[in-house]
Amino acid sequence: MGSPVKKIMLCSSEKEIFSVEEQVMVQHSVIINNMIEDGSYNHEESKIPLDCVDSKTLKKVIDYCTHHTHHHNDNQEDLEAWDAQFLNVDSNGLYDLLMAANYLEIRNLLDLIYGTIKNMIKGKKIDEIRRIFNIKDHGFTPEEEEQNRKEYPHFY
Amino acid sequence: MHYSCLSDAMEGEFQRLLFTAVSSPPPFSWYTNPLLRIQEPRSSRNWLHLPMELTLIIFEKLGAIEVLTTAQRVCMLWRTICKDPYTWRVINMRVGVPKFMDYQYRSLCRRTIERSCGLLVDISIDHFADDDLLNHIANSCGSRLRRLRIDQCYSDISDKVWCDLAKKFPLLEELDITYCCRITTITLESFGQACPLLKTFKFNYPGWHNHYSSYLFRDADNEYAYAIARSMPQLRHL
Repeated sequence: MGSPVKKIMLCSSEKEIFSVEEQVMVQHSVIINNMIEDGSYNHEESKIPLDCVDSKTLKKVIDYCTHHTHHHNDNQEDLEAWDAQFLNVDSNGLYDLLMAANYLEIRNLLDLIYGTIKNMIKGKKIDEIRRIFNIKDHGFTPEEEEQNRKEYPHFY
Repeated sequence: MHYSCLSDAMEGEFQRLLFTAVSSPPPFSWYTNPLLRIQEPRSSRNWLHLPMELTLIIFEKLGAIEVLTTAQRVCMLWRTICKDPYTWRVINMRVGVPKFMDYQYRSLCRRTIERSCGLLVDISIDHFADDDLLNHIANSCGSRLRRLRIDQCYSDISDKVWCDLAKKFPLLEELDITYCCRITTITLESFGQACPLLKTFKFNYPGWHNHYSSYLFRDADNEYAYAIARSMPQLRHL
């Protein structure tokens, strides 16, 4: 009874160290699950370096995994509300989360992010999409762009 | 000694050049070669620098119609992705609430099929399907297709057409013909015989859930069930 909760160390790109319950990360991240399973993680001395994930994003990812581990029995509505609140970030934050979730292979978080991005694009005008994703240089020649605008004014 | 001072200034200039250069679009190889992406400045997230495979997933979720109408005109990179046959291995053309006429959807669908250059393995379409379009799918990529989903297709497609179609999809593993009119036991059997790999089959007769008609169709239901059982030995999900 009462064996201490096993923890693992994650290291962000700023070299900040986060200590997380092993079970939480193993359950959600395919990569970390593989590391623990094949024994490449040593609980005494290893830190998992996540050089492409900054502290702010890593903290959010850990929040997500922790919440979904401890609250997976909550009713669907509560979880969805929590998820919506969780992803209430600007497009930069969403980009970082997507890259992190992709790197760590957290499938349910990825699905959630893709769903959000889909809703950000769906039904929007082209100019709006460019603004949302901060696409300043579309790379079309001025003639092409003008012709497109003339031909399909309702999409812009 | 003065050399090291100079190097600081040069470093600054180098950084400035590096960061201003980013605002003009990098060459295409930059997008496709991940090794060139490592030095990305973290301060500015550019969605165009997203790994191509992630953009592809976003497009897949978005559905073919949205991609063809708006996404491909957003920027050159997205257009390039849209022209890549690999993008169209999976075509999701479920319309939901229609915004265009059926014939427009049919022509969009034909265009996506052409763009897939025969790589298509998975297609989902709904009410706008007609026999011409289905024949087009069968002829251009039937031999590779693994999943065919046709939802709520009300147009009048005869048994003969269905039977001919079935023969053109030898690798089909999943077939979903929910709420399609005029599907008979003959059609089911011909699909069963022509597609030996079929593992998942979804089928709903119009009026299946309607209380009154279910009484009328009860005999018919049994026939369908027998037809499925007779001809699809590999079936796992129904």
